[in-house]
Parts: sequence; structure tokens; C-alpha cells
Amino acid sequence: MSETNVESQQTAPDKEQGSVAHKRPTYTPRTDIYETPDHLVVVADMPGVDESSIDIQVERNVLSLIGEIKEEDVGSRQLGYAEYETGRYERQFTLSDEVNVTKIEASMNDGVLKIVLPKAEAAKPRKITVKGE
Amino acid sequence: MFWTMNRRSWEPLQEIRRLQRELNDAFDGATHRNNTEFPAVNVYNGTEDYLLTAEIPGLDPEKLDVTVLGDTVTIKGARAALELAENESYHRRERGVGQFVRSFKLPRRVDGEKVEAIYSRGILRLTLSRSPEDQPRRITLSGK
Repeated sequence: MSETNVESQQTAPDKEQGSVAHKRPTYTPRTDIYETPDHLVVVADMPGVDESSIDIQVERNVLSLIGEIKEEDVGSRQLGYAEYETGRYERQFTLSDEVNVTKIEASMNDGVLKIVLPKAEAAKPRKITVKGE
Repeated sequence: MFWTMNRRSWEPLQEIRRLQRELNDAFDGATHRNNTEFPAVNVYNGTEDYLLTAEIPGLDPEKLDVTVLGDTVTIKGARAALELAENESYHRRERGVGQFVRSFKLPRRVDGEKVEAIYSRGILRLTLSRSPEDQPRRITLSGK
């Protein structure tokens, strides 16, 4: 197996948060990452986000995901009980340079973001034959 | 920031867990959503109905079961794990899988026949109409 590593970088808590007005909170999406022989696949739970508000960027091997949660239409109803707030999801991962950044594909389905990152040729597993002397 | 509001009609045990979660979040920098309950739910009160929203990303609607009894609504379902082939392996696994069930006691009874359920963007929206017999009624006195 090749050593294609993806490290997580926790987004530093925003020090300004909540200091003046009530800012939209930022959440870390729960994410699965798996490796196939040809790809790295990132699957992130972002309920309330639709594809139009997803922003994926790769800059210097850092993959950044941002998703804005769409405000729920509640009509004239009043909030009576709350376990979650409408905010945004944000997360960054450091990619090893064996990913072909030009061929990254992403899709959004039922609040789940899936990003498929093709491995660069150099990073694909290769069989090494050991020669006897 | 946390919501502080009137939550009279909810389970005390849930409240304790919630408090614990809020404390955890406070010491955590609050960027993680440390929900012990899945799915996270909001309830909005209307004059004629209640709107319950639940964050259930990646749900197969076929595996969702909503039941209403009196003033209690129960959401039951399952979230499947990713199916990985033999030559595929996890680097990180944070998304929860398996069955979940949550019950909520609403302030008043709702009409089980009039429940509207919509699932989109990974959010389940349940609109529950209040029971006709539980809605405020004007009583007219009849003189003898």
C-alpha cells in the first residue's frame, strides 16, 4: 500500500465568535476518508447544505471544505426547542502531494458531500520484485 | 452560544445530557458538534401545528419510520455504513452508522392523520397538526 496520508487540521476556533452580535456558528463536519487503489474518497456529513453553497478549494496541498447551511423556512412558528443552530461547516485536510488536484470530483447528496481525489500516477501501488544477488 | 428558552415539556434526562454537552462544548472551543443524540432536532411551535426538523444526512427514506401517538412523535431509522471493497481501507471514520430512535413529547396532542414529512438536503421536516379537540375553543353559555 502506498502511503497517501490525509491529515486533519482543526479549524482554529474563531476568537471573535460571539463577542458582539450573534454570529453563525461554525461546525466541523463528521468525515469518513477511505482509500481505494486509485482514489482517496472524502465523505462528509453536512445536513442542511445544498450543492450551491459548497465551496471546495485546494491550495498548497490543503483541501478546504466550506458549506453554508440553508436557513429553514419555519413560517410564523416560534422556536420552542433547539439542539442545533443554522451555521456553516468548515474543515481542512492536508493532502500528501500524490493527489492529482486537477481531477478532483465532488457531489452532494442528501446532505452528504463526497469528494473523489484521484491519486497521481506516482502514488499508485506498485509491485516491487526483490532480486536475489 | 446556547439557546436558553422555555423547554418545560421535555425529558429531564435529556436535559441533563444536554447540559453536559454544552459544558463539553464550552471547554472544547465549541467548534465540534458533540451531540450525543442522533439526530439533532429542533421544534418550532405554531398556533395550529408544530414543525420538527431533524438533521439526518444520507438517510434512505425507506428506512425511516415516523409514528405519532397523542402528543408524542417518534422517529426511528437506520443509517447504513459505506460499503468498502476488499482493496479499500479507511483512513478516518467519524460518521455514525446504525439504528437510531428518538421520541419527543410535544406541548399538545397532534393529529396522527395530518402529519407531513419531507426529506431534503439531509434534513427531515415533520409538520404536525394540532389535534382539533385540543385547540382552543370558545364556549357559549346557554341560558335557561
